[in-house]
Amino acid sequence: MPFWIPKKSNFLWYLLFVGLFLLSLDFWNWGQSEPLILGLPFWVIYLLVLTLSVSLAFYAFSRFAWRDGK
Amino acid sequence: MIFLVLIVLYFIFLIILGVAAHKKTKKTPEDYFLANRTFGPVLLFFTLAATNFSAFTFLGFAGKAYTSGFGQYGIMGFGTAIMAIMFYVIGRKVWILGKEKKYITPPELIGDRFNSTSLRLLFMIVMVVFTIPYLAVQAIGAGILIEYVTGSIGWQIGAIITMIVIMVYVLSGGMRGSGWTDVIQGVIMIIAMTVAVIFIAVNLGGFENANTLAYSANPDLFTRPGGNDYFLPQIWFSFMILWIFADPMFPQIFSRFYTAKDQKSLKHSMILYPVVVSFLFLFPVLIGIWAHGAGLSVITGQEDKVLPMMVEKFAPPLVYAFVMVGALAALMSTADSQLLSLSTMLSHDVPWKKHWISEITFGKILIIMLSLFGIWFVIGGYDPNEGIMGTLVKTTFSGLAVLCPTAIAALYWHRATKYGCITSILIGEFSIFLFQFNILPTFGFLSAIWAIAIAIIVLIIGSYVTQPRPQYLQ
Repeated sequence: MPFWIPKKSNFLWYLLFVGLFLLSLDFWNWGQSEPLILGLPFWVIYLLVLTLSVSLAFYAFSRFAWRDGK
Repeated sequence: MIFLVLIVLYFIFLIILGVAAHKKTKKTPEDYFLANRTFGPVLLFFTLAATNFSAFTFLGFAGKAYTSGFGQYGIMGFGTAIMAIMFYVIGRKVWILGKEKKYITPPELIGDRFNSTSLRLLFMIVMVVFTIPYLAVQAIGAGILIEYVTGSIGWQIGAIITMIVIMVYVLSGGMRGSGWTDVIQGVIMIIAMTVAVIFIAVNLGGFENANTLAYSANPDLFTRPGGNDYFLPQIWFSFMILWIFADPMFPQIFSRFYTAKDQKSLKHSMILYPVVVSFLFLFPVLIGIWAHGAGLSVITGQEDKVLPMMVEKFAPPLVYAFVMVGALAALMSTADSQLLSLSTMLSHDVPWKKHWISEITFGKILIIMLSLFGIWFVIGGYDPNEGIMGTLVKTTFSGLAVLCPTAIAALYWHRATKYGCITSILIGEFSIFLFQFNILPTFGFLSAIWAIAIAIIVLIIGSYVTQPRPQYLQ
């Protein structure tokens, strides 16, 4: 199998990162600015939270999937 | 005056750090060019961040947000955060191979994997060609910033002095000097942006009020596609993809993967990266947008000055001076890393006959030559927006992103061949110019996205129709 096809062992991680990427393409929020939270459009808060979620996902990945060997 | 005092102190401190790093550096290429692969989690994180965040992060984000709105935060913030996955995909493998085979430069790894000097040189040429104009732009940016703040020092003088300071501390300290100064510059950058946004918010009646004022003045900036209908879905998608492929191919970033002390350092950098960008990238965007509510009018074409203008208007002189030093720090931390990585590649990857001179001395001569080249650009009154160099600057990210499929194939794909990689790079780069000059349609996407797709397809086809190295055939 080509290397880019997910294996059973890393399928969930693929799903997680591809999922986060797809969530960043929030086209359903286009044309909207409200509701405003602290004066910021909701979608900006959404992207801020999504960006911080990436850090959490990286933490989980480095803890449970990233092996220090080769 | 306060700015001048701060900037002189800042320059002196950088040079002292460079000299201190020199005293710690042994006379081996691995130590001078890669700090003997000893960067721990804190040092590696700051050097990866400071190197990646340039003047564009400070001044460009605010300028773009001023014209197009909050969308700028999305494409840069999330795009850069998710890019850090490449610290694992590329960084981890590069670190392992670098340590095992004593690689120093990115082209060295690629060339050795395929046993091809041609591919190594091609990879290096692309990295050099797209990085040199960017280095010159950083020097010019420093000059413009100094001229704007002082009002009395011409931008050419400012650019030349900045370039000389960078040259001195990179010459003395090599990678260790660059890394240490990156930590200081990174900290200054983060504090400066935070202080700037706090002072402006307070003077506009608080965070929420600053947003409300801007919303009343220009509600388009709070939605997408935003001002000038810039953030169309195709552009949004393009930028989210672009940073993943482009950022790790900056030679100054790629080289830093070698410098990690261990994989733990790479892991920490990957985790912290999204946290820092989530806030740091929001601040200049806020300032750019708040300018509308503050009644600041900026001349078209001068949008990148919106951040200095806002800080000057709403913060005391000392804070203003400090924030401008922060902008200079962002710019210099990128330029010094570019200077070092360029000289490392040119001294290490080009098959010069240098029996009469050590590799470090040769690298240092190249650092001086590249710095003089930058100064020559400045003295020659070069306009970074014009001519072939202007085109290269505009296509830097695309040009480097085309290298990414080859890098990934080199690290993971046994079936990849040197011919597949060479054709992928050549056709990918050529296609950028076809898209850039509208010879081929982009359908609203960035030309880089098409070029990356073409590079991947050509790499796969080219590799399947040619034979890989025997040891990779199973």
